[in-house]
Amino acid sequence: MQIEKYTTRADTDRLRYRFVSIGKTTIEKVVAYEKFPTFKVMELGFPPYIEVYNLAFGDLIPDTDDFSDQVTSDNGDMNKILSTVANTALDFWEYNPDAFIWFEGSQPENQEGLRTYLYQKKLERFFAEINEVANVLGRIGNKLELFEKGKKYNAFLIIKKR
Amino acid sequence: MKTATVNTKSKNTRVRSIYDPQLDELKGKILFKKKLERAEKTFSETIFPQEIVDFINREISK
Repeated sequence: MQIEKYTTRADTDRLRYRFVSIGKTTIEKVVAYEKFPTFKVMELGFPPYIEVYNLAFGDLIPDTDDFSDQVTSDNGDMNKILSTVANTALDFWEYNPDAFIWFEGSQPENQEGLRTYLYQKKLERFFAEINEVANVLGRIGNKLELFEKGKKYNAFLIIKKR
Repeated sequence: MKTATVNTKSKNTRVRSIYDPQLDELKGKILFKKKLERAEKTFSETIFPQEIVDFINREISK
């Protein structure tokens, strides 16, 4: 995405990232790619070499080593944060080129589905750019289909173009 | 004579991450356990219609 991004730090496998969001306040963010068990992927009929990672991100809880994806930080830099998170996918795929990314919004209480919808609007806005490097599939009801603008999806599967 | 220059370089399309050994300490630790469990459930309950399976198979065989 051609939006300003934060510099990220990553582990050797490019599965964990950290960056600092600087807005109304300073918040340490973490991005994690966490693998689904192979049997869950195989159950759906995919070969065992296909790996699916859940993409999650959230805030470091101050004075702890724990993270939360339930916080609504409202730091005034949402576009920059989402652009930074999207950018980590490019690094992730450099080290894990065959992996699929599963992505759904976290659901803070009384905001059911709101974040997923928000991410969908961003996907729509930058779809042409994202579509250059990846195929986006959307989950509607419990069925997966090729992403189309204007539909309300509840999760996304993102596959890097070969 | 002054000449106008246009910066055609795209703005910040990709920023590479910097390796941080401290993040290796998080290896094997599930950071967002509840979210992962919920996502696993959603993923498992997802129906992949045949045309989507075919599409994915075409992509991975490229």
